[in-house]
Amino acid sequence: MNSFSLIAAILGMIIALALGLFYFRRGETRGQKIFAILGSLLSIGYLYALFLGNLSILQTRDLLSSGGMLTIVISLYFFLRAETTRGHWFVAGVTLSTLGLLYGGSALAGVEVLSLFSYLVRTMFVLGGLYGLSLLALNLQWGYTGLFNIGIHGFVALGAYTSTLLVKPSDITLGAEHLAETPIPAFGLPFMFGLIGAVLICGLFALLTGISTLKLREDYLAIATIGLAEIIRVAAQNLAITGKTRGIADIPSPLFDWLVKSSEQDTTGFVDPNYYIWFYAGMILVALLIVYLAFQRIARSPWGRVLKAIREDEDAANALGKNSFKFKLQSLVLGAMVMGAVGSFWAHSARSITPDAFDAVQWTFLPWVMLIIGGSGNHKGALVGAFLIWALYSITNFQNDFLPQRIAINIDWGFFKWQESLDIAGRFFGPIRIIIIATVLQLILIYRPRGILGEEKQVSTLVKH
Amino acid sequence: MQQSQTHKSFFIRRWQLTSLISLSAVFLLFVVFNEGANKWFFDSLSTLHAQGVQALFSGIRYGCILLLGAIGLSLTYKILNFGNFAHGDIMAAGIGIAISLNDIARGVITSLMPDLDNGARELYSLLFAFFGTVMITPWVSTALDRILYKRFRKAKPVVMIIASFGMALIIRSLVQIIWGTQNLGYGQHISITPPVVLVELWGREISVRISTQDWVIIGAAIVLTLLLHFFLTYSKLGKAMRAMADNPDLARVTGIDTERVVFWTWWIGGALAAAGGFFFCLAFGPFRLFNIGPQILLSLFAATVLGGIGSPYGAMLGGLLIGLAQNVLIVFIPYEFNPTAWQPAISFALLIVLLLVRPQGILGGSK
Repeated sequence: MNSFSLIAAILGMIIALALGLFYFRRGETRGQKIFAILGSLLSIGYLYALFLGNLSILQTRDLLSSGGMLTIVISLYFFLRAETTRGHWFVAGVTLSTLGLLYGGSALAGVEVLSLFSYLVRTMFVLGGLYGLSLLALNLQWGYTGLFNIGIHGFVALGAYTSTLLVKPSDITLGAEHLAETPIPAFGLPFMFGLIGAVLICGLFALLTGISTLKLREDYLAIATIGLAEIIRVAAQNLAITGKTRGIADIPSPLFDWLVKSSEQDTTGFVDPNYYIWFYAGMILVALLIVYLAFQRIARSPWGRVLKAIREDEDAANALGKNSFKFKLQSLVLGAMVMGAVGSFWAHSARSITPDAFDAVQWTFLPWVMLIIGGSGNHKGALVGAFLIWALYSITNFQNDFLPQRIAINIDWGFFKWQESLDIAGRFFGPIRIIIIATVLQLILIYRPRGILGEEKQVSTLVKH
Repeated sequence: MQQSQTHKSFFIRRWQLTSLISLSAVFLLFVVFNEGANKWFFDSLSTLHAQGVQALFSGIRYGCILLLGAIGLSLTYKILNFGNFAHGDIMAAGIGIAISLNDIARGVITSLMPDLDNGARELYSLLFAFFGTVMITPWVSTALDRILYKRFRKAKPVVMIIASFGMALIIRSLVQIIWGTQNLGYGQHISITPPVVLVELWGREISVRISTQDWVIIGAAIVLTLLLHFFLTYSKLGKAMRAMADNPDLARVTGIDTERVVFWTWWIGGALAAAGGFFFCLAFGPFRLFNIGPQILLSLFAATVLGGIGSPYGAMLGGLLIGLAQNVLIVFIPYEFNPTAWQPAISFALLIVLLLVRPQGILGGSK
């Protein structure tokens, strides 16, 4: 530790404290004051660890990314809660100051901030945005209509594979081409067509599932959707066209060749390959905004109110002359289409897909936890839940860089002998994350069943308040 | 009105019959006139002829395992009105407990009775593991009920389904933490020397591999289902259970201690799941334990719904049918598509087709 880092640390912490006090005085509600204090404490803690702790580069990345994620998630919550314009500006100010302190401090300490920020953009905005999209779809199905879809991973996988097969040019090799007996058809269409194809195919499958099960009791839909997802998984694992268990690699990303300057001779591109993901995140956030506004509009329309009526009492809705089967089918198909788009976006950002990537925990259980925690029947709540739980899930992944990978156990008490080199990483890290998330879910279900934000009251614009 | 409707549509409606017949006609025409389809169909038929008896037998064996799990799922489905997604993982926990008990018992028996021969030692330790897991695993499922599900008695069924989905993941993670990710089984010493039985069929001798374990599995499944049948029919608790499955409010009014019934429902469901898991490992082990839960759960749900939710006898029938279907129907999948991987998918396709025709399941009531 040299004197420079000591001075920088103390200076940074003083600035963080001053900013915290400044914002604390200007906060309008108690929540906003708490938010200001939290931001200040977070930056102070991070600066302390950065300058005075002995961090490896991976640990720095983890701490910085978790700090950034926490800031973004908490500010999203307060941003949606804020009621006045001044409140919105306040939240934005605190967020920017905290992020500035975190990343500015790291830049001072000589960390490559831009690439770490790309990491944050990838985890938080690309994947978080995709979860946000699937949450909006799930919220339409469950929060508004009461359709219990637990096959989200099936629809996402279907969308991903459809889009990949449509977009993949013929000269790119598949991951398992040598296993395939028949030549694999390739279309090489632009990304837009892949997206549309994924949306349409998912809609078609949802239509078939819905026609067969929506007239029955509500849990049959659950069994049918999870069964469909299983069929899709097995098909992806065993058909030659999907590359079997190895999946498909080298999936083209939209506008990648045009945007990215891959070599000195490349005349069209102007972006470094590492920062392409920023463009992608922008695209996903735009899609998220469009779907959010559209679904918010839908939810307030007469159609959305019929959905809620069906959710509350299907017989009453039927008695009022609404064909509940038709409405449920439309809701299911619309939601599944958005899930298909999620799959397409995901495949083209990850650039390689395998059947195992679409597992039920990550694409079905996690969205459900997000929805329950955020508050079903409320699109804002769904988004808050998506980003919050995704941040929590990503942050718990960072344990890998802080905990030992293996522990040698050597116990010998005569009657009881246990000697083993315990594989902590393989045996504990994955399960612990899941246990944390599942326990949070159970606690929310028991103590706050309506979620963080609860359901929004929606009244027709014709009704006078 | 509902009565008359159910009478009219006792098994199949007219439009369903018409579409079924026309679909089969299209299929037949396809098979007759398309050369590829023709070859596929007759290849499959000859495979069925060669392997049919073996597939039938494997199907019955797997069905016996599935029905043990499906009974517990069906009982809780009817009495608490929700599908317990943690059932498959309770089964996996039961397998884990059996494996650990088997290891412990083998060690103890070896040190206490060193001059015992291999076969007897394995038999004793397996017996100990079986009874141990059947006695221990039920406490896992009852503890689940006490800790979690009890808080949701008045909630909507879907809330309980979500809670059970979360609980399934917690149990799966605990299983992974406790038993690790390596392949586990009852040890290599188990004699897998399948006696080949020759069956004469259509003037042709066909060899079928039937090991002693298979007879044990089938026999034990028969004994356990008979025990359950006598329990449900003659014992006071069994009658209370059926009454509660029929109408919980009425059962409460007549003075049945519903919480006690719920407790024993979970206990019996857990015990049968443990027995099913024990046999599952005996038949298919060694395997990676934490993968088993979701894999078997899908088949269990298919069996429960196929037989008719809430009817234990329906669950037995459904389990057998799903086991048979998974083993016999894969004959029709060409070899290059890896037929065994499609087993769960087949049961779901069958389930969805059946739901279209008969939504309440085979033995389900009118509702």
